Amino acid sequence: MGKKTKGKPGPRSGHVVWRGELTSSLALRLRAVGLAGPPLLWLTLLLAVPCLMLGALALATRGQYGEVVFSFTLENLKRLAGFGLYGWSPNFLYIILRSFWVATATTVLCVLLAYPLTFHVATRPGRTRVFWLILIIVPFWTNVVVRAYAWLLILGPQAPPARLAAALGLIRDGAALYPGPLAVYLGMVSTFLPFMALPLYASVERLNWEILEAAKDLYASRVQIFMQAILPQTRPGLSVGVIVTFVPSMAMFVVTDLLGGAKTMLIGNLIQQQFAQARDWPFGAALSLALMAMTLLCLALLRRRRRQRPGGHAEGVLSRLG
Amino acid sequence: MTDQIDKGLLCCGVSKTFGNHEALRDLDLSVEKGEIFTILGPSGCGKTTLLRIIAGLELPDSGRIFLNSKEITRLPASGRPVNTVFQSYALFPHLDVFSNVAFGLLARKTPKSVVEAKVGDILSLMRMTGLERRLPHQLSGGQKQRVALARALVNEPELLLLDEPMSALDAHLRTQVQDELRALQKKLGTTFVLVTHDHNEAKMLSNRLAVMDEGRIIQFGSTQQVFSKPRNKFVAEFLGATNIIDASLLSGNAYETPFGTMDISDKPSWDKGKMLIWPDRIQIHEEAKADQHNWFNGLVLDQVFNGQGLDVMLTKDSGGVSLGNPTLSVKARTPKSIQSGQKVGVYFPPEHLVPLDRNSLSH
Amino acid sequence: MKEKRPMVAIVAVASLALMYLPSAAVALFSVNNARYGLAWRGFTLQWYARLFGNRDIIEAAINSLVLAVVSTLVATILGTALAIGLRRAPWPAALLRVFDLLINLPVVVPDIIMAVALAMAFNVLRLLSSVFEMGLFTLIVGHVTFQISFVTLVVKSRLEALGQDTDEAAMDLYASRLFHFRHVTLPLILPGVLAGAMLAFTLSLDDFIISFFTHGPESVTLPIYIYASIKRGLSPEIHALSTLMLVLTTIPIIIAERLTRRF
Repeated sequence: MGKKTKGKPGPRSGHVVWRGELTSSLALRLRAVGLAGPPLLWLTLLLAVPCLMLGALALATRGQYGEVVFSFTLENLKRLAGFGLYGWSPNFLYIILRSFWVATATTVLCVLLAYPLTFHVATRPGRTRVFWLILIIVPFWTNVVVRAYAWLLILGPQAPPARLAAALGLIRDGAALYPGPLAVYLGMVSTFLPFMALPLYASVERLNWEILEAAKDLYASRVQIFMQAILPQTRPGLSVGVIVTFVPSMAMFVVTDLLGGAKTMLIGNLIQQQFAQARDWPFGAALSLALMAMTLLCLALLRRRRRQRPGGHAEGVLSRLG
Repeated sequence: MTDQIDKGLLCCGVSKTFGNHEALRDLDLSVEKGEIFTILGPSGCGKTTLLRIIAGLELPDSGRIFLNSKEITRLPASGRPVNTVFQSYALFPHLDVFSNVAFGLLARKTPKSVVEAKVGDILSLMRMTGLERRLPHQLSGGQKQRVALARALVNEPELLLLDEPMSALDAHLRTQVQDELRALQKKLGTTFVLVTHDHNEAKMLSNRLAVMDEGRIIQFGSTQQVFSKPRNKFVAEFLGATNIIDASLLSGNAYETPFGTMDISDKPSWDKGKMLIWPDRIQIHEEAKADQHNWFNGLVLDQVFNGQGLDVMLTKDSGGVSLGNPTLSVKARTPKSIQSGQKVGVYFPPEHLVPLDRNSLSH
Repeated sequence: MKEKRPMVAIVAVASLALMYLPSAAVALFSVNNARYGLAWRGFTLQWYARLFGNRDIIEAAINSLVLAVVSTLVATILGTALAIGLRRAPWPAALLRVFDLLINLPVVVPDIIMAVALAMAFNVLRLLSSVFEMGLFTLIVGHVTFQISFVTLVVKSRLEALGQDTDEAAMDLYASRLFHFRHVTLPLILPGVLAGAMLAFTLSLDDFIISFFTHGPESVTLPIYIYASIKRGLSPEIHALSTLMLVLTTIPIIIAERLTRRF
């Protein structure tokens, strides 16, 4: 072909075709910043920056009238570790350990209930299954204050459970079943069970039942079937469930505040106290940092476990069983 | 040169690079007004990139594109009198058949009454009347394709681009759709450029074609020309050729091959290389003419009736062991029965032996 | 495993009971004709009637509703813009990862820390402008902050499910940017946007902790009112109020479920 039509550059410089639209790369960038800029700025100013400020605040101290004095000390972290005005006391460490313990116990109880629940739902026929699923979704949205309040009613002095306990001589006549660990665990488990059941259901629904049948044919015990066939296949849903149960239950303060006493105080209650009552914001910030560190630690641990053992390989499961 | 710009579609020196990958290398192409033209090539050869550049969905790094004498290189996709039938059809999933087809007209603010008339016409042409209110997910593959075609053609484009139009269809639908597409193009007179990796599709649909590889056009010409005389081994194999034979010059027009000495009408430029013969050009006789060029004794290995004739697999009969000898496939039109294990005489007509160039990108 | 397993069924039913017992008890007591005590004294709707006579409750309900509606509107617009801005523009991959981290913060960070951080931010911002005095405005700003992420996450997943070929087809069919947005992008993401909005609305109605830390004395929401009442002692009006709230938060969730299952 001739020279006349050749050799010239095609498009004007700086132009691009983006999803079928001819535009300049500058216009494209401006549009992206115009759309995403304001919400990103909002999230940065009201979320990311305040979270960083919490870190700075933890290094400050409380002034005489509850004001914040930026003195840059490690006083709050020392207090957290138990070194207070009156010598060493492990009270705060107890509360942190208790938060871990309560969160762990809640998570374990939820797992124990969620497996049978999700198996039962997954084995329902068609329409019935959707109905059962909705039954799990609805309590997901029950307000935590309302639910705690409901347990107060159920465990109250004249309600049947308390009367039964009194008749058995477990509690004194006319007393309530709260405050105490029983009320706290009822509140916690009923709050977080839907959080565990929904993600777990997503995995159980996709379970390869043939592998379970094969495992049974190989005369595996129930424990073996669970450990070798069910657990690896449902691991993705289980780890999501564990995260969304464990992390918020460690930070819980409503349930323990309403249903528990001083002996069931968690780090969430302690943080709330510092900000609402004691007006010791720097110490509250230090506690928040501790909670955040615990959260990130758990997330990191769970993520590492997930990466190490990618569950759900049918062949691998069968060969291990055989 | 002006006569060149007068083509239906003209691409001049088009280049496109994605990162380190050169998708198109200084490519030239011209398509006549009102023809069905096929761009044929393996996946990754750059044919879809070329189509997208013509449609305006991709910008070339350099080069110019003309459509009916007007330059369209710098026009946006929405400003080009070009419409595309996408490989995935890309129907709007939330719009029914009518609204999908009416989309282009409505986008250009065509009056309602005109839209209704035009959409009605094209849908009846496509035999889709009565399905106006269906959503895409309620349509079969063939119906989806007809909607995609109607959606493009209703805009009366100067050029219709089709990206692998048959790839999503069942095998038994393809022949029917190919016939329909040819008939439609004849009726409308629109220039069709289609891209495919299927040589049968190219053969069935187009009058002219270009074979592409590694961002360049390797061979360009009428369908008959390209299929009967592939330029090199790549093109020959891509067009489905199996009978590719080593040959070396003896003297004059005579070449030494595994099947004996062959005369060739179209003298190659090389002394040692490869030649091709299509299965339907090989003649099978009762007996070979002894010691004549282009004749040899063949042994039938296998034969299958294909509807019109026999597909025969044969090899050179070298007396005892014939196992290591190269095999040939032959389409025999003779109704005479041929048995496996039978000995036959085979003739390569000199005018049907096609010399192949070495695979090389320098033209 | 499909055969009958009585233990599995029993635990499943017990689990459901554990989740529904509280709500059922509250609903039951809300129609019990007894001011004090929990013995059954017959059916009544008087506690519901009294709700509407209680000015504090009406005010808390209005606060909750205004808060939920306004914050959902703002968060839906911002969250949708964010999702479109991130998924429909050629951002560098490293920057996208940072943005994704920012969006996921409210999902990962415990509520109480977000609440504390917001309270602190408002305390600083208060020095700049008096609109950041704790009240309805700070409540709205606080709720929008955690709602944006949820809207963005829902719309983003919807956008990711849509390929780029419908966009290209629209441009090939002569669409202007406005026509394309109006007739292709918007209708395709609308179910996602509405589902995100429903989720944001429910999160706002349901929220206690963030409201607790960012509300002022004049801006009490329903969950805060209930919490404060519990501290004073139980009352049948609160049973009725709680029952209404259970119903109220359930409706948008069922709507959102329907929306995400379309197409």
